[in-house]
Formats: sequence, C-alpha cells, structure tokens
Amino acid sequence: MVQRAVTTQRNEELAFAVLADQVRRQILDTLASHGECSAGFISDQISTVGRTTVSTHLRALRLSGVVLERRQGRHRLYSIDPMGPANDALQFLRGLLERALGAKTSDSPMSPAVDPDGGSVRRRA
Amino acid sequence: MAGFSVTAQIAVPEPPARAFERFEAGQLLELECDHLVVGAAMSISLPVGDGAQMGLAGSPITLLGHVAGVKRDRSVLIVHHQPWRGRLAVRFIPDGVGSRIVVESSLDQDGLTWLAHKRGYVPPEPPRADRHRIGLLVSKSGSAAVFAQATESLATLAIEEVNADGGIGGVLVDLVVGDDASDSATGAAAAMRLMRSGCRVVFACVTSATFNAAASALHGTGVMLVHTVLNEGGRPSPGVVRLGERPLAQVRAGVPVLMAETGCRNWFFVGQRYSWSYGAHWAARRVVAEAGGSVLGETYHILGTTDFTRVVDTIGRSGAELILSSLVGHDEVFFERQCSQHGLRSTTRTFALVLDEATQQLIGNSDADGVWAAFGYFQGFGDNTDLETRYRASAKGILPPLSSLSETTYNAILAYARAATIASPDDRASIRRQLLAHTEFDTASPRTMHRPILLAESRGGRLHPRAG
Repeated sequence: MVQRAVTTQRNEELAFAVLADQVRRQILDTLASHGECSAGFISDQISTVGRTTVSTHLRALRLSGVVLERRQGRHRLYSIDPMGPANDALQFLRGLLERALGAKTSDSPMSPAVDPDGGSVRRRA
Repeated sequence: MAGFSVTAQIAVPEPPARAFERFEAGQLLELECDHLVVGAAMSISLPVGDGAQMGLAGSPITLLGHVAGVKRDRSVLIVHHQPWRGRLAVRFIPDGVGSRIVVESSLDQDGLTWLAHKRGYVPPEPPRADRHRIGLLVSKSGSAAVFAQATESLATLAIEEVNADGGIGGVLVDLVVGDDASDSATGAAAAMRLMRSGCRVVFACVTSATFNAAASALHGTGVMLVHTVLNEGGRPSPGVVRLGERPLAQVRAGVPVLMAETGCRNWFFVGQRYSWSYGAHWAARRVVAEAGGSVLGETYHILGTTDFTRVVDTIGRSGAELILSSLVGHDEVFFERQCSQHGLRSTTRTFALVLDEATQQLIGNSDADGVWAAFGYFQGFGDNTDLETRYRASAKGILPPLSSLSETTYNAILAYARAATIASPDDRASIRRQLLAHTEFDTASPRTMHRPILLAESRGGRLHPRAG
C-alpha cells in the first residue's frame, strides 16, 4: 500500500517535471520572440496550463535568474535576463557533471562565483 | 573569444589507479572508447535529470570526440566536436587513502548557446536584410549525432567558398545551424526556428524521420528543404529536394557481390522503426530475390536502442550467413560491437548501409572488421583531395573524419549557390529543377551529383574502398 503510494507520487513528480520543462520552454520562447511581456500575455500563449501555473513557473524562472521582473503600476512585466541563459546554462552543465560523477547535485540557484561542493564555474578571457 | 569552464569533483575511497580503471571501463561518466589512446574516437554520456524522466527532457547529453592526451592513472584529456566544440579534462588526484576525481569542461560561446537551447532558451536569429541566409539542420546530440560530426565544418567551408566567389547574386551568405537532437519533433521545431530566422533554404543532414517532420512543418512557408544525405526517397513536392544515395543503388552495388564472394544466399535484415529502414529493406528484398537469395528474418528496433543481444542471438539461431543492417548512428555502433563480441563474425558477413567513417571509428578497430559499407564517397579515395586538404587546414588538432554524409552536404550547398545565381534567388522552382537535374546520370554535366556507389570493407580501423 505504501509502496504504491510512493510509486504514484513518483510518477506524478516525473509527469510534472516533463510538463514543467514544456511550460518553461513555451514561456522562454514567448519572451524570446516578443521581448517584454505581461504575465497575462504569456499565459495567453500557453494553452496547456492555467494562469496560476504559469505564474508559478515565472516565479521559478525568476528565482533561477533566467527571467527579470519589472513592475509598472499594477502590472508585472517579464523579460529574459540577458545574462540569465548563460548563467543558467553553466550551472546546468555543472549539475550534469556532478550527477555523472555520482556526486550530490547542487540544484539551488546560485551565482557562478559560489562554490559549496568544491566545483566551480568561471569565465576565462 | 571569451571561454568558460565548469568544474565538478567527487571524493572516492579508492586510489587513483583503481578509479582510472573504473573510468576506462565506462563506470564513470559512461565513457565509450575502444582503446584509451591518443587519437581514439570516444563518447561520454552525461545523464540529464534523474535518468528516469521521459522523452527529450531526460535524454542524456553525449559528448562525441577524440582522446587528446592520456597520463595513465593520472589524467585524460578529451577534445569533443559535438554537441559543442570543447575540451574535457578528467584528473585523478591522490587524497589520503582515496582520491579526488576532478572533471573540467571548457566551452566557448557556441557551446554556451547550445546548452541554453537545451534548457529551452531558443530565440530566432534576427533576420538580416543584407544576407542570403542558409539553414543547416543536423543532429548535434542524440543517437544520430555520430555520423554528422564534420558536417557543420564542411557547411561553413562551403559558405566561405561561395562568399569568396561573391556570394549569391552579389549578396553574401550566412549560415544558421539548427539541432534536431535526433528527435523528429525537436527537428520540426528547429526547422521552424530556422525559418523564423530568415533562412531561404534548409539543408538537412538528419534521419528521414526528422526530415519528414520538418517538411510538414515548413509546408507552405516558401522555405526550400533539401535532404542532402542518403534516404529512401518520398513523394515529390515543390518545396522539397532529396539528394543523397538511395538504398536501391546501395544494395544493387553490394548484395550480388557479397553473395558471389561468400557463396552464401541467406539474409537477415536489421533496421529501425521508421521510413528509412522500411524503404531500405523493401529495396534489399527485391535485390536479394533477383540474386536468388532469401530473407530468413527481419527485425525493427526503436531509434536509440542500445541492447541488441536478443536479435544477435536470433540471427545466430536462424542460420543466416549474411546480415543487412540499415541501423543509423549510435544504434549501429552498439549492434556491430555486440555482433562481434558474441562471435557472429565467424559465421556471418554484414553489409551496413549507414556505416560511415565516423560511425566506424566509434565502433572500434576490431569490432568493425569485415563489415561492408556503400557510399558515393569515402574519405581519402577519389579526386576530393582538394576538399580534404582544406578541411584539415580549417582547424587545429584531431578532427572528426569526413564521410559521404558531410561531403554530400558540402556539395549540395555549392550546387544551390550556383543554381540560385544562375536563375534568381527567388526562383525556387528553377533552383529545385537544377538541383534535381544533377541527380540523374548526366554525362553532359561536368559535376554530377549522381555518382556510382563505391563498396568498401572495414579493416584495421579504416574503410577501404574497392577499386572498379
């Protein structure tokens, strides 16, 4: 009984992870094609999930440094952080290498300079 | 150009020598390398997510390249060409009774761009009014990436030549590259991005699965789609051009010769579950029947299969002495290795339709011995020394080998530039006619796209074409 509950939860997590990836891609695609957009406009482009879900993903993207938020009166406008995709990509690569080695992954969004597990990310001239 | 590097490390309880052994055996970083020496072809797979994610979100990133340096028990340096050009240094450092394994990945802006694309950030390139833009669709990752490593370089060389000659109708040409990640849905999306970036034509060095999906996506957009590499053909359409070798020509060149030289008649076909293999096996059945042979069995596997032990066993029990493989990319690598390692080479001969130089290098020197291949071009054979010299001069260090798959792409781009200059860049019908005209056997034309198929045998790590 417990086993089945765990399996169901795991399947739901996996399904969510895949869906999250698709929603994330659609949000980034919208911002890349249109520039700065409101949450409502972004949500209109994505038919697979509702407005609240899109807002949740936007918040996650903001926390991971890929997307910027600007308030204009009552509205929140979103855009791609020009450095965001690059930083995100480097962190992603570090996570891949750690995972491949079998090390504990550091999935939390951090600036490239911080290096808790002894790994590092740097730019060379 | 600014470079970036990313480092990760792990502490292990064993000494460096033991950790090095585990790395060599593929237990760390999923290294695939026949023999860990400088110059050996290799691949390393990095799992994405927890490995249990489905579909593209969870597909691993496979670095394809060569070993550039080995200091036994201490370090390995790898230079890789796909999915981006970079270096990977693996160091084994003693740490008390155990060791630290440090992996450093170096990449440039293009590599960073590819990774950002993988994460979902794929903006179209802003179109330029002063450029005639050409798209290249290739498999930079996934199981089909094995056979297209040199294609980007050759496409770039072709563009440079065209621009040195004044471009197309006086307008300089530029290139935008799209990655299908060996997946047809991703390929269709990449083709759409190339269209949104202003590409007038897309040259596709991809599987037929991706090509057909891209053709559907681009239908009615005015963008011409050219399949430069071998393919099974398909319904003609004004926006589509299919070049490359046809399986009927390949099997006509190889099947009767193999049967005559071995004195054997019984075949087993192994392919993948999509249009290329269906078309290839249809052609092969016809030619086998014409030659008085028979097909004892046939299997189709999903793209991305790694375990062929069951079919290897089936072939062994079937009594077939001849194997036809239409497998593509990494699947072909695994299949040939497993055939060899299970002893099939002593009782069978294999004819592989998509065994090119890059695939053969990754299979490993001895596991590929005795396998036959058939293309219109093989590296180092024929009158292409000029191209080969320019390719070698284009970059330093070990380069992925040329093959028909990259060379046909190079030729197609040059032919397009000629056609678009003679006609007009906007006269798609005329350009298409000119490209297709070269695929018929045309003795009047100084440069025919349609060339006779050469047969080659794999021996000692190289493909040896047979003269005549």
